[in-house]
Order: sequence, then structure tokens, then C-alpha cells
Amino acid sequence: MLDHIIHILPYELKTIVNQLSQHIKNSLEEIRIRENRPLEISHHGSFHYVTEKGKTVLDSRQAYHPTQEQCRKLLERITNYSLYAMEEELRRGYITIAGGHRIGIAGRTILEGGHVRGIRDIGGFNIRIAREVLGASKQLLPKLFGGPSDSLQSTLIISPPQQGKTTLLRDLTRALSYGDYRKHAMKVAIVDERSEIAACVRGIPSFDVGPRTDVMDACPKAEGMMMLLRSMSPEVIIVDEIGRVEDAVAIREAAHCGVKVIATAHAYNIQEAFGRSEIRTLLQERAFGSVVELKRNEQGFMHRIISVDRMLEQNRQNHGFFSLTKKAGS
Amino acid sequence: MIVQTSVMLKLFGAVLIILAGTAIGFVQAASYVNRSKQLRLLIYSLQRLETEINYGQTFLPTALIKSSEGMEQPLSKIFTETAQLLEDSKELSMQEAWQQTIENVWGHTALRQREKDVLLRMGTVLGMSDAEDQQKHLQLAQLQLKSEEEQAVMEQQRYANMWRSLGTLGAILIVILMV
Repeated sequence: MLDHIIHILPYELKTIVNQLSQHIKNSLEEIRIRENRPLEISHHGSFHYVTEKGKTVLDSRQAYHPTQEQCRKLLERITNYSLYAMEEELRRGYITIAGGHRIGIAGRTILEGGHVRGIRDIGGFNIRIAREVLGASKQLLPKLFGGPSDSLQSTLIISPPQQGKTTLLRDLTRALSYGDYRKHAMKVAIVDERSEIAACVRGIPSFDVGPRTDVMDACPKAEGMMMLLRSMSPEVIIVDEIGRVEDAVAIREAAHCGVKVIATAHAYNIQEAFGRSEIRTLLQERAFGSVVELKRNEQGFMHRIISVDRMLEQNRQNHGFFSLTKKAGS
Repeated sequence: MIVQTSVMLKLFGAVLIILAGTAIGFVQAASYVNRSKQLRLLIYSLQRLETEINYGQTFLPTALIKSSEGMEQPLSKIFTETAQLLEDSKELSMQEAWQQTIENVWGHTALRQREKDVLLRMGTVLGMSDAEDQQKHLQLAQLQLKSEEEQAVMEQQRYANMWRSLGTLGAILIVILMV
């Protein structure tokens, strides 16, 4: 899994990462490289500094300090010696490499008319290790089917950050596209605004997202959904992190066309999600059939499925439960 | 009989000297011709590289190989070998690979230190800035090489013919002095 990352690291850092214990390597989440500052890794939700011998320590003074030259070499390899071909990525602040890993970068920004045009003097890298968990959606998938015709329901997945939303979404895509459940392989389309779900490198998905899946990479969600509706005639559209007005318009449009949408949103629980006006409107319009609350623990994913119909019904009966958050949101 | 042999030998020696002198002259002349020709080709390939980088947004190793097409050995090696080094080793930075290749190839070309400096300077920034900046650097390098080329053409006109006749004439002078 770390092969692609080891491959791009300069020699000294490569040696250090290779010396990390197998236990850490297996659960590595991030490698943070900052010029002339301590090398840091995060794993199992905690962080450590790393010494020259690949030992993890908590004292930053003992840690290895990557040099300017190493950072330059790292940048060259991430960009395939071609920073000029990465303008779009630099504007967004991260570069996706083979294997689906994302490398966030920080430095001095170049402005043009008040907007960020790119980054120069790059001095900080955050290598986020992407993990493909095949079968992550196995338990959830059958529960997304329902309704009068027992078909796939439009679903909104909500969870706090770092709980595996994207991993779950990716596996759902794969399973739907392969037809793992009910042997009915569906035409799936992904709008991958942040190149996270499919992690495309030059248009080709790094992850297995299924044989019947089309990806609109690095595309604004609302626009991408509209384009896919017109061009690829999907049965399901997968989209990450909705929440803006345009997103809602596009989701409504998809619903009109009879296309199902599986989307995610940042929120700790359903009450908080209901507090966001765009999401609340979509739920009230029944654009989604069900909402899934996601939590991750040691065993894996924990989810709670809430039917939107029942939720709205409940809300009407004891109008106090959601109305509080409603006021706070508006 | 003996006298005749020695005359023959002298004649043979004289012919050898004249041939050698002429050859030296031609080789010198050719270095002037080659230099201006290689400079011209180098400018063309930099133009190509500029297009690949600025409009094609091609990744640098591929862009280097594409720009080397239409160039002759040993000059094309500067581009292809750099690309090769980048693809293979993964331990060299772009600048190091570029420098190493130029040092290796330079002796086989007819180019001089000034052109080398231009290319080496260009190598320090190649690839590692936005397209606009890359274009500026590549154009600057082309401009500098162009002025070298103009000078090379002038030198060629002035010295190439001179060397050609000078070689033969010099050899004849030596022969006359020796007789």
C-alpha cells in the first residue's frame, strides 16, 4: 500500500519510512514533511515525530529534520518534474498521486485579482495515505434498497471528518457498479470534485470503482452532476460533501430525471445536518429517501439508518425536536 | 638510381605533409560549420520544448524526448539522456540530471562554454515554476543562443574558408622550407 509513497520520497526519507515498524506502517495515516522542521507521522489517530533511525518519539528535538534539497526533490517527484502542468492542483492545494494518495502542500501563494493562482516556495507537505477498504459497505448496501418498488433509495451519508465517509462511499460505488448486491450492476457516475473518491491520475481512476462507473474528475459538484445527467445517463450519481445552493439544485434535477443520488455531508449527527438550510430543504422535499449516520470504531464502520419519511413525521408530531436546531440554523 | 629513390621519397613526404595540412584545415573549418548548425538545431528544440511545456502541458521527461526528435546525435542526447536519468534513477534532481548529462555530452559537440552556461542556467529552473515563467526562461535561453548563433555564422564565414586555404598553404610553406 505504501509502495507509491516510498517511490516518490527522496532517498533519506525513503530509508526512514522503510525503518518504521510494520505495525505503524500498516496503520499509517499521514506523513508530514516540513522543511527544516521535525518529520511527523500520524497513525491510529495519534501523532509522533520520527528519528533518523525510524524510531517514533514525542520529543521534536530528536526528530529528523528534512532538508531544503529533500523537499525540492520531493516536490519534483510529486509533480513529475513538471510544476507547470499542475497549476490546477496547486490552486486547490493538493496533488493526487498514483495509488490515490493525496499530498497537501503549503507555501507562499501567488495571487491574481484577489484569487489564489498557485503556490510557490513550497515548504510543507502532508502525505495522506489513502486506503481502499473492500467490502466496507457490505452491511449497509442491502439497507439502502427499499420503497414501494424495492429499488435503491437516494441516500445522504452524514458523519464527522476522518470517520471513513469517503472510503464507504467508494466501496458503495464499487459494489453498485459490480452488482455485488442482487446481481444488478448499475450505471454509476461519480462527481469527484476533490479527486478523493476515485483518485484519478490523468483521468484514470486509481481505485477500483467498478466496471460501469464514469468519473467526472476535479469538477465542481453541481456542474458535474448536470453534465453527467446529460452525457452519461447514469442510474446513480455519487457525490461527496454537498451543502451549497447549487448542489441542491442539481440534486433536485437528478431526482426529476429519476436518477438516484448518494451524497455525503459533514455533520456530527442528523440534528446538526438538519440545521444546515440547504440540507434541510432537500430532506423536507424528500430528495433523499434515507439518511445514514456514520461512526467509526475499532471494529469498523457503525451506521444508523434513518428513514426521511419517518423522521419528518416524528418532527411534525413532537415539533420541538428539530425545530430548535431549525431556529439555530436559520 | 639511389638519387631517384631519394627524390621519390621526398616527393612522397611532401605530398603527405600537404595532405595532412589540408585535413587539419578542413577539420578546423568543419568545427565552425558544425557549431553554427548545432546552435541552430538547439534553438529549434528549445522552441519545441517551450511549446510542449506552455501549450501541451506535457510532463517534462516526455517533453524532453519529444523536443529531441529531429535533432542529431550527440546533441539530442542532452535531452534523451536527461529524460532517461529522471525516469530511471529517481535519486537525482532535475538540475543534477541535466548537469550530469551536459557534462557527459559536451565534449562530443562543437559547442563552447558560453552555450553551456546558458543551458546550465536554464536547467536550474526547468520544470519547477508555472508555465508563464517557464516560457520566459526558455525564451531567454533561445535569445542568448541566437546571439551566439549569429556570431557563429559570422565566424564561420570569416574563418571556415580561411582555415581551408590556410591548411593547404601552411603545409606548402613547410614543404618549401624543408626542401
